Amino acid sequence: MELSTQDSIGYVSGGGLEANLQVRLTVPVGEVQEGAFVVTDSQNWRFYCLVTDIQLQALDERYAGEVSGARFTPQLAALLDKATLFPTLAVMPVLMMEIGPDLNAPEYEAWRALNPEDSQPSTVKTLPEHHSKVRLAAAEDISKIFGAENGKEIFRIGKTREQGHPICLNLKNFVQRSAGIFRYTGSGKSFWHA
Amino acid sequence: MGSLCVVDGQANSKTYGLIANIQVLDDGLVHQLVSEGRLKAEQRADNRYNRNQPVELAVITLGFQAEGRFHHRLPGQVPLALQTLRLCGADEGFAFCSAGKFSYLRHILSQTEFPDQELIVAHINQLNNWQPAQRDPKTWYPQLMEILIRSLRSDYDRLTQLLDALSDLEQSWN
Repeated sequence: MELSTQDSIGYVSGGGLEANLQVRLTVPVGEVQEGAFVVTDSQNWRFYCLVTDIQLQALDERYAGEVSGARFTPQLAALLDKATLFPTLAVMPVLMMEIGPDLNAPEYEAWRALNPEDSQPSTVKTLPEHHSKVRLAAAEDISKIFGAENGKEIFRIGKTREQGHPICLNLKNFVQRSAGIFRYTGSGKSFWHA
Repeated sequence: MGSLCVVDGQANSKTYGLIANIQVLDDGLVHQLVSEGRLKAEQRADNRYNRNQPVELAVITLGFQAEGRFHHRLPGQVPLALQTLRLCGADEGFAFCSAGKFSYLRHILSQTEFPDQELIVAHINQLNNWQPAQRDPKTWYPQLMEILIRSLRSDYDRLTQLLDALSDLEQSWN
């Protein structure tokens, strides 16, 4: 199944600022990989997160311990598994950005008047609500954080593993502070630097 | 046991229920005949077919119909005394059960007086027998099963016993 970045892959079911967020997956576990960038909108905030772990959970360990298809009819076994076995993601919220109310909401105009400038991502200070829908990050989400390639000072240095969205580096910002390049021998550090 | 039944009330209201128990009440004459020893075949037949023996039904109320709409909650009033109880037909039974999301099942699952698993199995079997060919594919069955599994999934033993019984039932349909 090919997932669109607009499709929800699950919803927030718990977690905290110190611990990772728990996301209950609503798509097959193979659709999401560790290291994927995911996004969730909650109230007026958009949270940019990274998948750090994938876990298989069961409502009761006995449901996971017994192969239901060997005991019940295929239809009943499928319904039972769907209701009792579920994968979850451990998701680390990294950045958040104020996005305001929905564009079509009546309160959007008032909010926009108070916030005429587009806000920028900042470190996470709060959390999304329970049951906030989580989706895979789109190219626009990635470019909002890393910048969009412009052929000048912002150039592409790689891509996300899952969806191949370009990841760019803003040279102007990069040289303003000290920076280091870390990688194992033979991986191209000197070539990249040159 | 497990049949859907209905009591027609006033102002076109109806109360729906499930027969949960059928009890033949104690009959002194039967005791006498049995203690007599040898029972002739004609005596046995006479008692079976010519005498009115008191039989009592226990019915779990599942919902009601008022002003043309079905409701899967308990009615505000109980049926009046001496109102007639009749068995539901296929169309009426299907109409009641499939209105909403089978939430009437909670009335069967929450009672403790009667064997809920056997009642559920008998009820599902009746729905299956009612299903006319034009209602294929059988969409009600997975919907109903989803509700049942969600309702009982926190009780592993109870749910798996019910699914064992339903697996047997499903195989008998094929």
